[in-house]
Amino acid sequence: MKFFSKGKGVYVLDVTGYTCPYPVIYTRKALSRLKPGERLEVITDNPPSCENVPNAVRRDGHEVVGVESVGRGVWRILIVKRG
Amino acid sequence: MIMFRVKTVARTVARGRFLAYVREGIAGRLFSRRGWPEVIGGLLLGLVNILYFVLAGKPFSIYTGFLNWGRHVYELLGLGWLAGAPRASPLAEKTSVGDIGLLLGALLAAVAAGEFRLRRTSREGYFDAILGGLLMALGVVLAFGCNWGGFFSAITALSLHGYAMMAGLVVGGYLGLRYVVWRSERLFEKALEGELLLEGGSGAGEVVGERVASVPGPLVAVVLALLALAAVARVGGPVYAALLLLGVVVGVVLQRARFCFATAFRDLLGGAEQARAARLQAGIALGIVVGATGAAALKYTGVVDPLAYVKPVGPLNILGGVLFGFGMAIAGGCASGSLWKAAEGNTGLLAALAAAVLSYPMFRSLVGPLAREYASTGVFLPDLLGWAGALALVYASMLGWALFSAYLAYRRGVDPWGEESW
Repeated sequence: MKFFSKGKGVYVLDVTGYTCPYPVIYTRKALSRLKPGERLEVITDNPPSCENVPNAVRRDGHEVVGVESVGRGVWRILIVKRG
Repeated sequence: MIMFRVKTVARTVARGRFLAYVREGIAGRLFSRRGWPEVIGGLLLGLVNILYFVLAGKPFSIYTGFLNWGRHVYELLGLGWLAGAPRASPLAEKTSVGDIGLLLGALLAAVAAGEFRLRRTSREGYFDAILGGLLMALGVVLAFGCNWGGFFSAITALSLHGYAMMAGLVVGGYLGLRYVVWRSERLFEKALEGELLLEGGSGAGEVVGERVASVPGPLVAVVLALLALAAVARVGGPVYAALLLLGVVVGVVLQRARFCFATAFRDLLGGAEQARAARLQAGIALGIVVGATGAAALKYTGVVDPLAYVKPVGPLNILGGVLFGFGMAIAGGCASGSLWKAAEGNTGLLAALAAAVLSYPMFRSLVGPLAREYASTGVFLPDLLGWAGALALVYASMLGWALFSAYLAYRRGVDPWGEESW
């Protein structure tokens, strides 16, 4: 797992290699360290996480901008921290 | 994404390209990033279980196949005297053939959906997977079956031992959740000590690009499946070929519906994916209701032996369920989960699968006799309650279970069916 800043206010959480429930847990932990308005990009290769992570994040009141494929079997989930 | 899909489909229909419509509109929807609803998955698994019962004389199960595979490995190593000799070729043993079909079906579905990828995990991930695989194998010896033979298919076959393991799975799943939470705290803190929030880290897109493994196309998966079908038809015969195909259907359904028994029991009492756990429990309950209805008809009419798959029941089944439930929660997949996730390219679950296959024959040799000695006799529900009573018990308990699972989520402010999909 890697968690780093890509630029000002944009963070990357790389959870490739982790299966359920870790992507959701780590996404929540990462978001709790961000300030409102900052962006988080979650990189996952666990197919169910493309639905589970957006669902959990939206339930927590954050904004999910999109889920995009960045290579075969790898996805990027774009989130904006709210609240 | 969905809107985009709808527009593309509308355009292909407007142009009258039927083949393109079939590919985009039907295959595109069935094999998209959006998985099938869990309840549909459960329904299909229940139906396949009935067909499997008709053809094999027993419901769908997994671990007898692992026993066959493991014993073949030990025989090759010259340890057949300890592990026991395999009774048949892996291509002519009913459960093994179903397992092979499951692997191939999941591979086909994963490749078709663009989800196949060789996935490596952390050192802790492999450790948990192997430990989980070992605990699952030991649990199976005590519970007389895995999450299929000891639970799903066991209740379907109207045997009380399914309910005993189910109770254990709830406890084991919860203990697994505590472990997973502890593990995630430690790993996240470790990641923070390292490279947290260093300005200007490497861009993730490039990193990911390098890691994409070259994968076989759908064609390779289809050719593999056809080769397996030919081999099974030749060695085992037509019935075994049919069982292989049913296994393929099970694999496709499990992969597409992300039908994960580990999530269902791990997050039942308040994990990160409690909504999905509740939906999965509803799917499992529906599958059991459908499967039990068919199995009851087959057993009542004598098409299959009424006592088929009725196994000992007692405290050992509950203990086995606890071990199995904890094992699948930390490994990240149950018996079928290890198979379909390994087929997606997940090397962590492949390690769990290997650990289970290699340890199960040994546990059976070493612990099995003790387990059988302390085991009580089996209880066939219709003997206890009559046929109508037994079916009524299964229907009522499963409806109650699905509602209870939904209530547990609802109580924590989670609406299992209120989630948007992508």
